[in-house]
Amino acid sequence: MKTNEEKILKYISGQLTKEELFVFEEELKRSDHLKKDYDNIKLQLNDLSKIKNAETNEIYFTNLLPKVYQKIDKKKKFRKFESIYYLVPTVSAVVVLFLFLINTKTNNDTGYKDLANEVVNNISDQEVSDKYLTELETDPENYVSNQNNDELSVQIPSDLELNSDSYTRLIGNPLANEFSTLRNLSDNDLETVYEKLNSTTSQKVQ
Amino acid sequence: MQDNDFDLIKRFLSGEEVAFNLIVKKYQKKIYWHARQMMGNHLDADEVTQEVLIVIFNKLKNFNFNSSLYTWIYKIVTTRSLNQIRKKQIKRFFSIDDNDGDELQDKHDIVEELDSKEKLEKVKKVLQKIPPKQRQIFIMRNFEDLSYEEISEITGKSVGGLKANYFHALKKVLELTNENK
Repeated sequence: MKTNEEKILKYISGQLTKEELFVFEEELKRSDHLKKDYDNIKLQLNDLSKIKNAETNEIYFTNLLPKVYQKIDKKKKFRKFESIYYLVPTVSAVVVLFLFLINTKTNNDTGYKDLANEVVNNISDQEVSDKYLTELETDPENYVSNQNNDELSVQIPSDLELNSDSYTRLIGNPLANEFSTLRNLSDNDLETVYEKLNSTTSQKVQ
Repeated sequence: MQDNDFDLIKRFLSGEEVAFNLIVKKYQKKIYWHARQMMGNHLDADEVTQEVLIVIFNKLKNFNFNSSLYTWIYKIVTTRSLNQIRKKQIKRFFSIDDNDGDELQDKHDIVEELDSKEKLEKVKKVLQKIPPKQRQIFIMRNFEDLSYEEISEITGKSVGGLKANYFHALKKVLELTNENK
């Protein structure tokens, strides 16, 4: 059966060449064995195909069209409000992002002030610390931005030498100022800065 | 048949909604039964059928009159059926519960006669075990009596490729039929 099955299936599926087809049909006429196998396979396939005439409940097909129209109407209605449907979450997302950005900026300013206050309060010289605090409170934004450009060098005593790495970190950080940058200096750099400040300003930094 | 279909499309495009109703009446059973054999149950077949009719309603304005309406509708049904099968496979992959809800299917089934139900179940057992693309060609050849040329136009596959696919489908179907005996 197996060898015949292969041939029969190739015949049914139309895979035989002209010559093979001629040979197969001749054999089908002569060989009872092949004819029996062929009829058997055809019977099995026809048995499966009988279902195409299955009786169905016609109410389903009668109700199908109204159901489809209902869905089409629903989609049409949705399309009318589609822009609003997408606009609301988009606007909400923009508002949330805007609020987040504002909040971040405020936090940065507050964080900066806290840190600055903490550092300035540790300076023993009352006059120096008062000067820093006044500048910070009167125009904090300008004060912060001033620390971010080359004018930074004006704020630092001229004979205070910073190595290139420290300077890059001071300039490279968009929210940099000398107080927050202090946190980022290595122990060695910090010690150098401390000593230079002590020797050039003659003020004891505690 | 083609002239009649083209006439219906033209009437629909000129605003006569009745023409769409006639198209649906003419093709709804063919659409349903293709989907039913592909999906193996009524509820999925119903979903595909409705989806296909909505697509026809919305896209008929783009019909280019190069192919027959019959072929055009078949393209939509075959694509939607395969998509539905893929969706179900993905859902099944992520779901712990592998229950197809046989009771629910049985309650809604539109085939009520017992003999037909049994035959349908027998076909389902075989067809659901062969790959969807082989199942598709088996259905088109055996249940819908479509020629290779027609199937080629619908699926966009070469006739040679379709013959090879049908050969493998037949082989598996016979194997499974003998197993189920």
